[in-house]
Amino acid sequence: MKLLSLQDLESRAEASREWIRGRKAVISVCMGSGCISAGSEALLDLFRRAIADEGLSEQVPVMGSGCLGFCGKGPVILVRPEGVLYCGVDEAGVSRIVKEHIVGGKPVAKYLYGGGAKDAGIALMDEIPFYKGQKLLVLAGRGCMDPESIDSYMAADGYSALGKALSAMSPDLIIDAIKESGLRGRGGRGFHAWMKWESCRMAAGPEKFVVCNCDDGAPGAYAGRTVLENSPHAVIEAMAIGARAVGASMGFIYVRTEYDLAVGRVEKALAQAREYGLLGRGILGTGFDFDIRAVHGESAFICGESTALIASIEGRPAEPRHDQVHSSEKGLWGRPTLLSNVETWANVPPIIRNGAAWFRSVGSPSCPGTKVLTPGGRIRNLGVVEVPTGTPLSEIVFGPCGGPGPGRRIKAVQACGPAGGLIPERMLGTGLAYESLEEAGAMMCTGGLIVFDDRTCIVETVRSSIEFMSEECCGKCSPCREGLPRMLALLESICRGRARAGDLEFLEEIAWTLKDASFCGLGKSAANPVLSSLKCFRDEYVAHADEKRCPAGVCPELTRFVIDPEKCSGCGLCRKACPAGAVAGAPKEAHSIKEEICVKCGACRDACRKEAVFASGTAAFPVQRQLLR
Amino acid sequence: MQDTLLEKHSVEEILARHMYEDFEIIEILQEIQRMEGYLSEKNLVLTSKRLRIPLSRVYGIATFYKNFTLVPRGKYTLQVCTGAGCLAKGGMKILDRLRNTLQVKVGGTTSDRMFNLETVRCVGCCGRAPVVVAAGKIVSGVDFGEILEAIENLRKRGRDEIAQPARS
Repeated sequence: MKLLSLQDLESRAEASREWIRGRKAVISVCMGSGCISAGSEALLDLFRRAIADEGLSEQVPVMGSGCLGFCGKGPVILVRPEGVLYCGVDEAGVSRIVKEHIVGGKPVAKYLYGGGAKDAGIALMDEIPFYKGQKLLVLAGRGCMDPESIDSYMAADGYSALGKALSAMSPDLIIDAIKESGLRGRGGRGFHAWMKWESCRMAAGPEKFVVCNCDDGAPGAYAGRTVLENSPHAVIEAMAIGARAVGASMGFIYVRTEYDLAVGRVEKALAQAREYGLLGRGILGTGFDFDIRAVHGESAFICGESTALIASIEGRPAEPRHDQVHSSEKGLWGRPTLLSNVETWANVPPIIRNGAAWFRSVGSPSCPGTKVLTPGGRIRNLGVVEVPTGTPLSEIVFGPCGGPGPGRRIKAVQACGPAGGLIPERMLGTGLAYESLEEAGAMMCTGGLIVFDDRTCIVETVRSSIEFMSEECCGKCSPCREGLPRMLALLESICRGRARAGDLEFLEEIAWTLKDASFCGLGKSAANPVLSSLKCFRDEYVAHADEKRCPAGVCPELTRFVIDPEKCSGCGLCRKACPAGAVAGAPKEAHSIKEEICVKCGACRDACRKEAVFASGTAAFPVQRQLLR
Repeated sequence: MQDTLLEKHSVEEILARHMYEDFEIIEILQEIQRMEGYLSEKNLVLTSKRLRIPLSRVYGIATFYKNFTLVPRGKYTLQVCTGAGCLAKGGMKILDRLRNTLQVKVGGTTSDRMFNLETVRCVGCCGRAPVVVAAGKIVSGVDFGEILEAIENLRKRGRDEIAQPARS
């Protein structure tokens, strides 16, 4: 069914809205990667069947929704119109929710957040601490939109921005709107989006391209992929608007082929958009032609670098080129190319739809809007959050993320995956914005936010980041190709307590060389974790190198575990947790650890509720030294 | 993803479907590898001929991107996530135990050519760490027993398929 005009578009959207309005309730089952891995696909079927058994199929539709963000508590389910969120729903929960809530009208406490046999829990999604403080622009419609249905996107005003851009706005007006909004690329450099658009529009060329980069690549950062999985149509709409503004007729969405779900949803969305005539020839009855091709990319972290990404689309090894001439003038096949990442694109339709002033009202003045983050590591709530820019990191870590586990303290936060600097706890007041994060030695980038607590070793964390970077180095320039393995070897020897005098200075020197002399952003940013940690956590390096101890009790070669007999209650939790069977002791009597067979994994320390297990090297340990005899 | 091994396509068909476009070489090689499990010399030569590009360029791409392999691999791939989020939640311990149980090194293939053991850097499910990807399916929040169960199920499926090849 082709939409031939703006009226067609509006009536179609109104029909979709009307259909939803007439329903008694809607059950949205989260179909994000996290919840699918926890079995939400099966739940979707079970819900459909249970609803059909009650004879309610007409009144209560069951739909899959984009990621609801609360991945750590999956599978999660949202029941509208009330907006009740259920966590950790299992098979038994399906029939109970249908019988007691949908039919009976009473939420099932067992599956509510914080709910249980005795606790009522929190029923409404908006009242759960995880969702407070979030502001949704890019993830708007989460829970209400089926990512695999174009009608569902249109019901949420989808494609109306494209309609507006095609009917009421000239290309200059579109670029003006982007300029006024102050939108900045949600990538590492925070380039002002309108500058790219303008220079691409001004560039001469027989044909132009628009490209969307969905290769998050960095461990712990999957904001782009989540946005693409949640609303592939928003990206398609945005790219069409961009193409209209710069005069392009072909677009490419570069998705890693491992992102099965994202690839499938993009392909499906492209097919639906073509069917509706929102891609192809004469879009919405205007003379505007535009189509998009999904490129199944190979995974390579270097593809975050735009020139490397372009090389990969052209079918060459992903090695960066000199970017003296920006890709907006000479990009794909030497043609002017407007390239942005998923999140940047996804901000475009709301800006066009609601106006620049509306967008500027959110977030910090220097870079308005929101940022999608994917917090992970040692925090209570893991998942996907979207917060206004400028929000202090502490508010994110202790707000939606729920802070560290019981008894633990936050030690550092690594923003933007392995290439990001480590921000120590005392600097958590840093706002989430390009300039302030850069000052702190980190980057905003793809939205990774890994939190480390006092049982994480900083040197080991940096070692793991550098290991990743050296694996992903493309090998083109020598500072990066030679420097990263050298840094890795140094870090490894420090972790093993084999550091020699001068190693720390040498490490720092290599890192500066990388920052100064690397060809592309990968090498330059690879120095971030080393430099920032040497600055803020130098004492940990010194402890490893000179005192041969790991202050976090992590590095196996430098750590011994000991149980304090006075604190130990003999509960046996550590004995059960030990994978090597190294903990001995009778019930209710003090336990002890046999050092010969201990694998130094720390499972006993994590299991202990009395804080009776100590690692040598930690600050608390010297007091217990007599235990070692 | 691995199930497509059973689909009956020829390399020629893959090349034709991509209209012999040289810029689609990465997708072509992906499909060949998905079908055959690896990129053989024969197929690299064929690709170079059909796309009319030098073999050195095909080889360059097949060796640059690390998911391509020039040697045959096992039927299923087990990937243990060693991203920071999973490391913090004990991913390394799972890797160590898998290495011992399967008697195989990281990057190696088990003697029955059933499993490849690999590490992967973040599959985007840090919320459910630690994560193992078994034959393309994410097993999350895992304890070791669950992984062993998944592995045994796969091994059984693999043996059945070899005993009774699916009809095309």
